Amino acid sequence: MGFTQVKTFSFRNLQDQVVDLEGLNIFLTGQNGQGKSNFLESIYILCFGSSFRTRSESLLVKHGHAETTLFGTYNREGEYSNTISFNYKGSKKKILLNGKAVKDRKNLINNIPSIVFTHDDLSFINGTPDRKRWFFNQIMSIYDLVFIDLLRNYGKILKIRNAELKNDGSKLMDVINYQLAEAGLAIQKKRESAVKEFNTVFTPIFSSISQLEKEVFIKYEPSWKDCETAADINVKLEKSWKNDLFTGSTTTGVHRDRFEYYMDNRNFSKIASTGQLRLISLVMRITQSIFYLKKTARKPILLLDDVLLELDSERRNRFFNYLPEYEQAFFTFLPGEHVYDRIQENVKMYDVAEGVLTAK
Amino acid sequence: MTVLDQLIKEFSRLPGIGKKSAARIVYHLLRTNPENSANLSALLNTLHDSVKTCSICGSYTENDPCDICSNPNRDGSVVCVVEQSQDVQTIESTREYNGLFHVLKGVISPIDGIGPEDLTIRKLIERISSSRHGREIKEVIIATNPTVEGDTTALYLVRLLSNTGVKVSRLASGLPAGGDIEYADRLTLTRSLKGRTTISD
Repeated sequence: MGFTQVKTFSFRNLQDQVVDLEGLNIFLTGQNGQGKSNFLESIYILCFGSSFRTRSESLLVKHGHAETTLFGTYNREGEYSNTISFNYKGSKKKILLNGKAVKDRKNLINNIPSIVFTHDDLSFINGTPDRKRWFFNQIMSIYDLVFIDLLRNYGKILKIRNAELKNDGSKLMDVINYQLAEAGLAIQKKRESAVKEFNTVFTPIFSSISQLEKEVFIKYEPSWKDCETAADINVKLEKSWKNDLFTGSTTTGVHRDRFEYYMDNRNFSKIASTGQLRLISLVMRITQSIFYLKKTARKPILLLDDVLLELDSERRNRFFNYLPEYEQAFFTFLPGEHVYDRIQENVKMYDVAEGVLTAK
Repeated sequence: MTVLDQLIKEFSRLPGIGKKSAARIVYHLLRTNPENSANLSALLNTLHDSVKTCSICGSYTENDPCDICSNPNRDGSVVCVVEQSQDVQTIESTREYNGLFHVLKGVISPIDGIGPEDLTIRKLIERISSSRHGREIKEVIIATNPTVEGDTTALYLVRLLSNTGVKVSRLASGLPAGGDIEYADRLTLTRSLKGRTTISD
C-alpha cells in the first residue's frame, strides 16, 4: 500500500500540513519552486532518514525556524499501520519507528524501500568516479546488508592505513596491507558479480527503449586488476607502497574502483547525447527497482522527480512499459504536461502552490 | 560552588555516570551514615598507593609480582595477551584458564597515534625470549577484541612471534553460547560462517 498520510512541520518551503495519500499513483503538479520536489524529499527522508538532495541537514529546516519534523503513516501488506517520524533540531536528528528510536540508519534500509529518480542521477553516468561508486554502493546496500558492513569495515582499515602512511610507520604496513586486502577482496568479488547480474537486466531494457543497434553495458574496472586472491592484492599494495608514502594516502583499492558504460569497446558516456545519458540514468533506476524486487521479493516506492523532460514521447512511452511493480509511486511534473497520460487508474492528483498541496 | 555541587561535578566525570546519577549518589551519601562516606574516602585515598601494576604481566595488583604471576600452580607455558587489566579479571572469572597473562595496555591504533612501541609488546618479547627451561613459554593466546584495531594488533603479534617457535592462537569469534542465531548481528554471523568448525566424532 505505501504511505497513507504525511505531516510536515517547518520543512523547507512547505506549509505545515497534513496530506492524505491513499492511492497507488500520486501526481504532484505545479510551477517551479512551489514545493513539489520538497515533498518528494520529505517522503524519501521518512524512508531512509536522510535526504537525496543535500548532506547538510540544516537546509531542511524552514528559514527562520529552529527545527523541522516529518511524520508519516504507512501500511505494508498484512501489517498494521506503522508510523515513522523524523525530527531535526540543533544539528541532531531523531528518528522514531513506531515510537521507538532508530539508532543506526542501516536498520531503516529495509523498512520502507524507496527508489528515487532525480535530475542529479546524470552524475552517476558521466560524473566523477566517486559518484559512480556511490551509486553502486547504494544499489548493493539496499538489498545486501552485509555489503554495508563490509564497506564500513574497509573504510576503517583504509583510515588506519592512511594515518600510518603519514606517520611513516613501515613497521605495521604488512599487517595493515593484509587487513586491507582481505576486506577489499570481499567487496571486489561482490561488485564483480553484482555488475554481471545487473547487466543482464540493464542491457536488454536499454536496447529496447533506446532502439540503438549496439548493446550498452556496464563495465566494472577494479583498481586491483587481475587479483583473484588476497595474496595477489598484497603484491600490488607492496608495489605501490613507495608511491603511497609519497602521496600520504592509499592510491589503490576498492575505494578507487571504476564503473563505466561501454558500447563495444568505446566509453559510451563520452559519446552519448543528453537524451541518451538521461535514458541510461532512468534505466539504471528501473534496473535497481527490478533488482530489489528480485532480491527481496518486496516492491519499492518510486519517487520520480521531473525526469522525463529530456525524453521524446516515443521513448517516454516505452519507458513506462518497463516501470517495475511498485508499492506506490510519486510523480512530479509541470502543469499542462501530458507525460503521465498512460497512468489513469488509482491516481491521486495534487496541485502544489506556495508550499501547499491541494487535492484535485 | 558548594561542596555538594563540587562533588556532583566530580562524580559526573566518571565513566557511565551522568549529572543525574551523580546527584543521586551524592544525596544518597548525605542521607546514609557518615561512616560510609569516611570509609569510601579512606579507600580512595589509598587507591593509588596500594594498587600498582605487576612488573611481569602489567595487570593491576597490590603485591608485585601479582598473585597470578607468583602462583607456582599456574601453567607458565601459556600466556594470554589481553588489551587491558580488566580483561584479566573477566577471563579469570571463568576459572577455565590456568596460564599466565600479559596486559598490552591498549591496542595499536594509528588514528589515535598509538603504535606498537606505545604498548608493552617489547616486554612480551623479552618475557618469551628470557623464559627459562622448565618454565618455558610455549603458547601465546591473543585475546584482543574482534575490532579492526584488535585485528591489527593480533596480526602484528603473529608476525612478530612467527620466528620465535612459540605457538600463537587467537580466541575464537562467533556466536555467543546459549544465544540465538536470530539475535546475532550480521557481522558476527558472517564471521562465524567463515570460521565454522568441522564436527568430528
